[in-house]
Amino acid sequence: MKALVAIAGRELRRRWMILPAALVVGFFPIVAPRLGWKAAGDPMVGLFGCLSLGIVAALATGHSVIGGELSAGRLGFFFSRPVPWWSIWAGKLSASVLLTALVGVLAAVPWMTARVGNQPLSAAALMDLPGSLFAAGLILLAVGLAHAASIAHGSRSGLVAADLALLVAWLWGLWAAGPLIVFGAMWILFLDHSPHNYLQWPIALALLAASAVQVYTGRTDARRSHLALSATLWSLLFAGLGLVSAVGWRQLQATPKDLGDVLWAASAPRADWMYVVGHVRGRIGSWYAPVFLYQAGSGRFVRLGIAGQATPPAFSGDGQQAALLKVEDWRSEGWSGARLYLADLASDPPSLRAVPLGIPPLPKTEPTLAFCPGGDCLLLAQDEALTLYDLPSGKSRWTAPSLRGRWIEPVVFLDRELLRAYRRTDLTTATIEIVTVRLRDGSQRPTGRLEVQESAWLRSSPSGDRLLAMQRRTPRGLPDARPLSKATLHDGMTGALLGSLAEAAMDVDADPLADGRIALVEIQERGARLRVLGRNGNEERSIDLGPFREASLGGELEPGRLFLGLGPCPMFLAGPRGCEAALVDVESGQITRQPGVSPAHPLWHSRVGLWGPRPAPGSLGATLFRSFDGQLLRLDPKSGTRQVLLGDAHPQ
Amino acid sequence: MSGDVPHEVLAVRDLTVRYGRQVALDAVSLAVPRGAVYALLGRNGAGKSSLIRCLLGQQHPARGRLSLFGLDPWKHRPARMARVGVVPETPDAPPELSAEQLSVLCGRLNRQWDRAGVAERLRRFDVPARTPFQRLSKGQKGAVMLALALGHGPELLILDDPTLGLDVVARNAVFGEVIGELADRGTTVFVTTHDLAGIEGLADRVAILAGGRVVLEEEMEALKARWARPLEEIFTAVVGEKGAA
Repeated sequence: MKALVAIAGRELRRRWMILPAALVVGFFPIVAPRLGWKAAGDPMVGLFGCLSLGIVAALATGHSVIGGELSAGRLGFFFSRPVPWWSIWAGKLSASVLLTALVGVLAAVPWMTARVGNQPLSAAALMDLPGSLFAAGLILLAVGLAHAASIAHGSRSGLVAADLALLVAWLWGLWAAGPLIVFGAMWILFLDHSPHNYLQWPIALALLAASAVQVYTGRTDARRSHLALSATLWSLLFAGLGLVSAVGWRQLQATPKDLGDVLWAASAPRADWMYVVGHVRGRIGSWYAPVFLYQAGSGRFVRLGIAGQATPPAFSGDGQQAALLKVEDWRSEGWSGARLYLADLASDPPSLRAVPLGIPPLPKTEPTLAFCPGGDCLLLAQDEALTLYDLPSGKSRWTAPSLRGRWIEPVVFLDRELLRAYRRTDLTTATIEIVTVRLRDGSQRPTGRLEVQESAWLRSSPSGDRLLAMQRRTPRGLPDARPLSKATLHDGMTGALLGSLAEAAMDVDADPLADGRIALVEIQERGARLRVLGRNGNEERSIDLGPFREASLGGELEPGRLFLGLGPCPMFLAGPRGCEAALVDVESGQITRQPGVSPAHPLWHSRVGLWGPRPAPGSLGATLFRSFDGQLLRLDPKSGTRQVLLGDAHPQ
Repeated sequence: MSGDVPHEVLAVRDLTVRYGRQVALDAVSLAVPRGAVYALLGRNGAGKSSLIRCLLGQQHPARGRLSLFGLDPWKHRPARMARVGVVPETPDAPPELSAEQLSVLCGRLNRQWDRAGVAERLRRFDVPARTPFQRLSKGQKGAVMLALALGHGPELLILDDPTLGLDVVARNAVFGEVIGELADRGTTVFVTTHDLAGIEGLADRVAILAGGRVVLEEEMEALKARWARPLEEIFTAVVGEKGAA
C-alpha cells in the first residue's frame, strides 16, 4: 500500500500544474462578463468547462501514466523494485482518476460558489448518487480508453489492425443483436437510479480489467502488453455482448406458462383462444411484458411481441383467425408504419404471417380491427376513416373517410352484406349520423341521426336494432356542479328516441343482454342500483347494489348473470382500494361478492373501446377474470369457483 | 526449481526467448554461485538484455526455468527484487525527479533504505542531488542508477552493460570502486559488458553468448590459463568460430 501511494503521489506531483489551470477555467464564467462577454456568465458555460477539462485530463493522464512510460522504457524502474504489479497498476491509474476528478471539481468550485446565472447549479444537485455514478463511470471510461489507445499505439505491432477489426465486429454485433441486448439489459430501467448512469460502466470495467491483465502479464514488454490487453478486452466485451444477448434471447423465449403476473386477457367470442399480456416471472424478467395468443386447453400459443408494439387482436367469429397490427418501424409516421399480421389458429402448429396492406393505416389515431362475419374481410376503424381489406390478400376494398367529423364507436356488422357505423359529422355539434355501409363496395346510406350531449358514448345491441346512448353533461353556470348522466334508448337504424332510461344520475352505465333486455347501472345520491329493462326500456326489475358512488358493468358471464364492479374500479387494475366485485343474478336479485378479481380485459368500463364481437355469455371469454395478484382465472358463474389458467399467486 | 544447488544465487535452465520467429535465446543454461562476479559476454543482439529481463521477472520466456535465490522471478518478483539491485543498460528513472527525490521515492518502495549511503555515493560520483534526472549526463545517470541499486543493500547486483558510453575515469570507477568493493564484501555480481579489459580482472566466471546459445562458460582463471591470451582475443576467437548472433 505504501508503494501504491508513493507511485500515485509521484504521478500527481508530475502533473500538478493542471490543477491551477482548472481553477482558472472555473473563474472564467465570473470574470468574462466583467470583460464584456456577457453570454459567458452562464452556469452551462461553467459546466461545459468542467466537463471539457475533465475529459482532457482523463485522456492525457490515461494515455501517459502507463502506456507512455511503457513506450519510453521507464516502466522497468518500478518492476526492478520490490513492488507488486498491482501497486504499480493501481497507483498509476488511481492518480489519473483522482487528478481528473480534482480537475472537474476545481473547475466547478469558483462559479458554483459565486452562484453564476439566474438558475445556479449546486454541487449537491450535481454530486448526488446518480450524478456521482455517472461522472465516475465517465472518468473511468475516458482513462481506460486513453490507456488502451496508448498501449496499442506504443506496441507498434500489427495487433492494431486486429483491434480495429474486432472493434468493427463488436459494433456490428451490438447493432445486429440490438433487440436482444435491449431485452437482456432492460432490467436496468427498473433500478433505483437512472439507467444512463450505468451504461458506460460495463465498458469502463472491461477496460480496467484489461489494463490490469496487461500490466501483470506484459510488464515491460510492449508487444506482450498489447496482446494481453487486447485479448482480455475483446474477450470481455464479446462475452458481455453474448451474455446480455443470451439473457435477452431467453426473455423472448418466454411462453404463456412463464407469466407470473397476467395484466389482461381477452378471448375469441366463441372459442377458447385468448389474447394474453403479462409479466414474465423471475427477477430479471419481471419487467418483460410479452403478448401471446394462447389456447388454454391445449397450451398452444403464438408469440406476438411485447405490449405496446401492437393493437389488441381481433378474432374471427369462429375463433379460427386473429388479426393485429404491429408497428415495427417507428421511424415512419405513427401507425402508418404498422403491418398486419394474421394468425391461423386452426393449423398445427398455429402460424402467424405478415400481410401487406393495400392502404396503410392513418398515422395518428390507434386503429381497431374487426373481422367481417364471413371471415373473408377485415375492417380497420380509425377516427378519420374506415377501411375494408380483403383477406387473405390484404388488398383494400374500399375506404370511407369521416370527412369533417370522425367515426365513433361502435361499428356493428348487421350481416354479411352490411355494417352500421356512427359518425359525428361536426365536432362542434352534438349530432351523430347513423350510416349503413355496404361491404361489397363501401357505398354509404345515411339512415338516421341522433342528438347527444357534449360527452356521449354508444352501445349497440348485437343485431343493431337498438342503440343505447350514455350521455354526460356539466351544468353551466354552476362552478362546483357535478356532471349529470343520462341514458337513452334509440332505434338502431333511424336513431329515433324510444325512451329515456335514466335521467340526472350521478353516473350511469348500460349494456344489452344476450336475450335483448338491457342491464343498466345507475348511481344516485342514495346509492347504486341495477335495473333490468325490457327491449323497449320498460323496467322489469330493480336491484339495490348498496351505497356506492361508482359502479360498472363487467359483462354477462352466462345468460342472466352479470359481473359488476362496485366502487372505484379503474381500467388497469392492481387491487385498488375500495373496488368490490360482485356477481348478480338478474332473476333472483342475488348478489354474490367476488373479492379480489376483475374482468380479464381492460374494459372494466365496457363503455370504452371497440373490441368487435363481445364474448358470448357462457363462453370462455365471458368467464375470464384476473385476480388482483395477477392470476388469470376462469370463474364459474354458478358456483363462483375459480380455476387458475395462468400466473402465480403473490403474497398479499 | 528442484535440484537447485543452495549456493547458487541465480540459475537458468534451458531458457528460450523468442520475438516472433526470431530466437533470441536458445536453451541457455548457466548458474551463478553466491559471492561470485559473473560476466556474461556477447556481441550486440546476442540476447544478454533479454536474459536479464527474464531474470528480473519482467519478461516471460517461451520455455525454460529461472531461479533467483531459489524461486521463480516471474511469480515471486517483488520478494526477489528486495534482494536484488539492478542497473539497466538504459537508465530508466522518472525523468522529472532529481537524484535526491529518487532516493526518497525508492525509500518508499523498499523496506529498508540507506538514504545516507546513497547520498554519500552520489557525492563521491559528483552527481548534483537536485538536478532533474533528465538533465544529468549519461555518466551521472549511470551513477544515480548504481547508487539507487545499492541503496537497499542487495545480495545480488545485476548490471546490464554499466559502462556503456562512459569515459575511462567513470569506467574505472564502476569496475574498480564498485564492483571490486562489492565483491570484497561478498555481494554476488552478475554483469554484462562489452568492456572486456575492465571485467577481465574482476570476474570469477565468464560465459559467452553467441547465436542465442552459451558457447563458452568457464572459470576466468582457467580460461585464461588454457588460452594464454587476453580475454578480448579469446572472445573474438570464440565468437568468430561459433558465428555472431
